[in-house]
Amino acid sequence: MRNIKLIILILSFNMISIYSQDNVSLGKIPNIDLKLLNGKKTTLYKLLKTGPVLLDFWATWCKPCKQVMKHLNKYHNDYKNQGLTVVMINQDTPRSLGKVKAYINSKGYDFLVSIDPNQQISKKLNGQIMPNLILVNEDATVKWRHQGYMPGEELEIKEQIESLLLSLKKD
Amino acid sequence: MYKKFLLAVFPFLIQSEKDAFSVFDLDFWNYNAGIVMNFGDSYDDFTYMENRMDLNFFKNNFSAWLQYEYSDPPELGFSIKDLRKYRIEYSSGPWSIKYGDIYEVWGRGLVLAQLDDQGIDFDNSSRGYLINYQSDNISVTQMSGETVNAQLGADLRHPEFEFTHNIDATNINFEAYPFSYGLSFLQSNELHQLKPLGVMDTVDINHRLHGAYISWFGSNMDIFIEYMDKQSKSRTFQTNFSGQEIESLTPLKRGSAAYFNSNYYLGNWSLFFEYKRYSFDRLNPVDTDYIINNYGNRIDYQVMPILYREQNHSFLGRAAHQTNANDERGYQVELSGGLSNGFQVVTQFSHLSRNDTWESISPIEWNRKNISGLLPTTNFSALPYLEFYAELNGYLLNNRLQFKTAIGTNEEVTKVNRFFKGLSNTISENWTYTDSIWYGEDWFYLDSQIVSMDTSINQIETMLYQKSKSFTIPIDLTLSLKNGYSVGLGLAYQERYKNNVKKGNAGGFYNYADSTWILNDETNPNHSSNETTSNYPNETPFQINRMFSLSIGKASKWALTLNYDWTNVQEIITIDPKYNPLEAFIYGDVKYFKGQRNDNNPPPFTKNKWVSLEFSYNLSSTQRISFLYGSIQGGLVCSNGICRILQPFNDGLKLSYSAIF
Repeated sequence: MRNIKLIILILSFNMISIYSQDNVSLGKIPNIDLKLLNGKKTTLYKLLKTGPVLLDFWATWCKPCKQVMKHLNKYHNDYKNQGLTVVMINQDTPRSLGKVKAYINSKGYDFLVSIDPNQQISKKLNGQIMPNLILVNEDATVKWRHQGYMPGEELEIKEQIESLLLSLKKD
Repeated sequence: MYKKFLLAVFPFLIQSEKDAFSVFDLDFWNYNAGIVMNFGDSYDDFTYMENRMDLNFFKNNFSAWLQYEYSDPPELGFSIKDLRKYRIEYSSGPWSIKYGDIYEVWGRGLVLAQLDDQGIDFDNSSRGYLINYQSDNISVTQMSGETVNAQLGADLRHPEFEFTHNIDATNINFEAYPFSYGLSFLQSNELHQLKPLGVMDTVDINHRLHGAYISWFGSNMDIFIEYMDKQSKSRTFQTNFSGQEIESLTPLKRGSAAYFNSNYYLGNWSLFFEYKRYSFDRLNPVDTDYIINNYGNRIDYQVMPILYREQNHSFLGRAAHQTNANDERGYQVELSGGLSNGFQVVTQFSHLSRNDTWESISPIEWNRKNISGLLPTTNFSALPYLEFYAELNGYLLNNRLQFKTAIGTNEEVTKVNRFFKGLSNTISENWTYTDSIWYGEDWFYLDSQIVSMDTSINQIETMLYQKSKSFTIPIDLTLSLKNGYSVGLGLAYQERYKNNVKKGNAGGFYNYADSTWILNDETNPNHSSNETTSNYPNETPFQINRMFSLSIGKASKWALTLNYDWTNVQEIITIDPKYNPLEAFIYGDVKYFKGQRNDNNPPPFTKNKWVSLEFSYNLSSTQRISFLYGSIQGGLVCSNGICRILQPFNDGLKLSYSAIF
């Protein structure tokens, strides 16, 4: 019973305090190894050298993940000249990993796709709830995070990207 | 003690920016954290509470992960009030070392794939250490640790059996783009818990797995091939004269697995093909169920490709094939591509079967015949599975209406009880009456005895098996409105058949001792019957399922979803314990609101129906809370191809909260 009270207290404390803050500091993101669908490898920090990166966790069986992908591909193409790279980190396990590349190709998506079949990256970044978007600044600080997707939220994603790109121009 | 300390400092780590101290100073660390909280309380006395907190710390070459869980009890699995997972990692140059809970995937998982999926209570991580050396073109990994895998028994919510593995494993990966090669070795000493069979309730097994894989990436196609071999031995221990314990290994089982995957690309069109052949233990078709006491087969580290579609619709998921990773071969083909109007088409076909066809020798003996070639068969004695899925999705109304419509069918032989075709002995008995009385105007016979038995050789064809079939049409529509509002509509219709099929001119064996058959009609050996009966209760010929869901939401704010699930017959009949106000509202039952209904005696029109209403609200972009009230039908739930049967949730409340920061 004492433990229950402790858990509730901790959860309530965090929930209320986070909710009460307008701008939660999301800290710096660690460097992560990215194994790409085409067999090549890169790291997040290498990608950040050319500009901000928008990470998103997804899986072939995740319906809202697929809904947001169309918009993310558009933003990848619209803002790549300003340095933005969209990286989709796939969470399919080896049971269905083979279908990932076929799906991406059939949709004609241009963003980078990385595979994370043992959820190493998602565990490090707390991306288990999908889709899970992380907008990372060039200095590796997280500027914005979002979990889940409802139609219409693509506008908020766009606003966040444009806001970040604008702040980089001013700098 | 240190776990309690970590828990105690947790909020301070998150909230404090200047007052923290030492390594708990947030200015020193980079960190992120996540909370998932689930609570459920149903009217049929099922209450669960799950709380998980994940913490990640990073600094230079060092990182750490902690997961505390307070679940008493969880929705599925053991209760836990402890530090559930932890891992410390350090990397320097090409070297990295990890200590704690390790998750590794090598190749496509034929040797090793470690995953954590709380939705179905699956976790096969190992607690130990991992050392990795990685340069531009070579990666060497060595790991060692212990895993405890749980297995459900009769209780569908709490695991009953535990299998403990101590593993040592090595993987070497060579990169020479566009080629990639890998070699894996894994040894596991397993302590396997048995269903009680007297004194012995555990058994020691040694597993040795060797695997190799190769992949090639081209501009218009890619290929992946993996093969592994596994040998399992029984471990026994004897003490010698000097008191030392000597290990003795006795060969138990040997198996192998092969997997091939290839993709071909032409513009926006993709042709996906994969093939598998898994052979670890070939049980006869009566013993299709997983048997705890049948050990030495595929181990829980081997999470291999399934080769059928992983469905995200609950109806299609309920009708999903449950893979037999010990004995299955087959292929899957999928063609997908974009049309000129932006629509996407997906067509998929899968065909699986056992590696052998089986023929009954006696009620307990089977004759196995290996299927020639590489492909699966449609012969029913090899328990074939056929699946077809076609989907069309896209956008209409100037990209405001998103639609997805599909058709999914599958057909499967789930169990074979009897099959024989050929010449065999038959037997007929001649009986005579030995006692009778005259009553009224007729003789009534009271006793009889056998006077002779005739045996002969006849052409026999007899089969008795279980077959299932389903046909599903799901439709999803999402309309985006102005100001961020959207309306979603989901419809689904499904027909499911589960039949016993009995065919042929013989009804069964004469006895358990030999393979002598009893003809259906002794006077006419060629008389053949063909009988199909439904497995559903009350002789209902087939199950009809319908689903309706309506959701309204505002982007980044809230969503309200009504789900209505209806069936004509339940596979496992459950009693609805309560008539709740949501049901009364949906059915427009004014009597309920006038107090003319008994809450504890739901009216007949609510039978076989489940209604729920869910409200979710985004407290911020990283915090979400949701409430669900009502009932949810139980059934098969599959995630990442791993399936669990979940029990229904009746007339209750679910509360979920998640946050990342």
